[in-house]
Amino acid sequence: MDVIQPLLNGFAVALRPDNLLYCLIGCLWGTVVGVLPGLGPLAGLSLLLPLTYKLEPASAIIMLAGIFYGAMYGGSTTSILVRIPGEAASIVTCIDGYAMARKGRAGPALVVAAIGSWVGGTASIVGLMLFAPPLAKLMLQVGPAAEFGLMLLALLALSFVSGGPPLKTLAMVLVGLLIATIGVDPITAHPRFTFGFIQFTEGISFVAIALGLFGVSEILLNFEEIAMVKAIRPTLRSLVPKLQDLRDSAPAIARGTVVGFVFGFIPGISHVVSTFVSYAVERKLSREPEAFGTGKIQGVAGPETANNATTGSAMIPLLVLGIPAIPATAILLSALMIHNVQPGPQLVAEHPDVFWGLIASMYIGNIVLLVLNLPMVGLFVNLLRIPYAYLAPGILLISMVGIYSVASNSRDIVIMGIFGLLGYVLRKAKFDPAPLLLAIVLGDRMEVSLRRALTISQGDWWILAQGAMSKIFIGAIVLLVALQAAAWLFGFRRKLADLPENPK
Amino acid sequence: MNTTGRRLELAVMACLLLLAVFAFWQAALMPSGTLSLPGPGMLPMALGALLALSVLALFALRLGSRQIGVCVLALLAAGLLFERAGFVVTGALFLWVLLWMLSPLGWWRSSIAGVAAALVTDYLFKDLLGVSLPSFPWTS
Repeated sequence: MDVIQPLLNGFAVALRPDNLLYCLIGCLWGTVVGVLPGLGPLAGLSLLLPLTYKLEPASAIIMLAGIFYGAMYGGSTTSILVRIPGEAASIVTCIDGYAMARKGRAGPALVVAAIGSWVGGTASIVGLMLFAPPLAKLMLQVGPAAEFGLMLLALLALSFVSGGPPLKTLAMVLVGLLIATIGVDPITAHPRFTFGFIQFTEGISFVAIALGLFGVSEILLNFEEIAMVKAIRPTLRSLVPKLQDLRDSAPAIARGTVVGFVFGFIPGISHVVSTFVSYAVERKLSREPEAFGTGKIQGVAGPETANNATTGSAMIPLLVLGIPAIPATAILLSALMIHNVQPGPQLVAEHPDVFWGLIASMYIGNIVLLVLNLPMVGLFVNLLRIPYAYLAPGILLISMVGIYSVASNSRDIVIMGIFGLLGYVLRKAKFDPAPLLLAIVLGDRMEVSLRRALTISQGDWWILAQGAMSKIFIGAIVLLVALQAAAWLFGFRRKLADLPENPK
Repeated sequence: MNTTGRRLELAVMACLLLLAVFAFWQAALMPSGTLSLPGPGMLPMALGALLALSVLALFALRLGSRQIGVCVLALLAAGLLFERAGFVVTGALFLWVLLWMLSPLGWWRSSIAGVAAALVTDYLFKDLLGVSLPSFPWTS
């Protein structure tokens, strides 16, 4: 397979001055939300999402992807210097990263985090570039029946794999699917849940929901959780990498790359899980596992590499199947769909500028981030000094302008506010709103593919299990449900049997 | 989780339940079509029902003991199975699952107890007391 020529074309797209600028903006903003505790990549993505409406699709996804992987870089900075994870994927980095900083080794920790991030990020783009096109060819045979199976599999996998209790995740998925049905029925154009309001016939704006659930609600939550912090400041001199540090962390970086890339395929919170796995692997393989927690450089290098290595592989389900495996790629998906670019097997052939432009821009962006992060670490740390009383209104203002600019409709601001409150309450009640967002993105297509398949088969539900692809997906669904049920039953029995006052 | 958190969690669950019922009711007013050719109302109705079920299950796990959850689930499943598989099969499965889950008997002894008890019950009620029970799928 020839990747050189299309990749060169991709670089031609990515190196256009305007796209370079968007890539830089994305990477910078990504680093900022990564550094700021409480503002994660999801909030960062949804805040800039409205601005991409006016851009062409390639530029839009180049900028948004930059936020996604840029946040993985930025997250390590706060973890190491303040011991507050800038975002969830950097929780593990706090352990040894902050311990190193306490010992005056903040510089080396930041350096290996950045280098590991770059290695992991770049390697996973190579994987994305090599795997995605052949996979897309394979997936071209997927008809409506198999498509439904695939989406069902994605949502189920999400319910079972993503950290939270399966029932809560399932409830969130169902609420999302219900929200997706608001508006006219895609097949018969019958209005659903519109209650006579014409405004609801096109459904509720996805951007307003995303901004509310992740942008506004995070701001609201932060009022309670953020305290002013004191950061350890590294000297510029300590930021020059030392050979011994690099030699120590090289194997950890290599292993982190593999762990991250593999975990990126798993729906849910793969980028977070991969860091825990990588840390565990490093401790297991270390000759002095008891030294972990006291500032071991491998404990920074491995996880920080892993969370960046998920960024490439997480793009594969999105670009090849049109199915976002994690919430961040769900927002990327919505950005593409706004421009009538349907991610899926046809994407590589129909929109080569988007696909290859994105890949090329990710190579560039990773280098930009590596260069940006080290010298500007002091600047980014200063962000932490901005009092929240100034930061929060500012961000809310940006989201307000952003959401209004999408449809020039003030109703969307209200919807954003309502979903902001909803997201706040849900999180307080330990319901994760991320699956809800994924379900909203997939809901329409899921229903359309199911009803199309049934029309083709004239009402025979067995069509869902016909064809090689459908059989694979259905098989995977059955396996997943059976495993989950078995694990649940056995765990349940154990818990019941442990109870001494077990009623007979 | 502290008590405020728990209360909030329960409140959210109650709201979700209301939402499910409301969605089901509204969707029931739409043309639902048939199972082989679903109309606009079919999917929202199914979603509402599923949401209600999963929230109820959450309630059962949160508020009641686990034993209650198992019993209710087993009863629901038995209701679906009763006329299709007959009383003996349903009853044996029902007892097997419940005994295995709730009693110190292992799955092996529970299964024997389940089959035996189902057969005895069937004999007692049908043959001695004259209750009409579909014992097996082929006898009804």
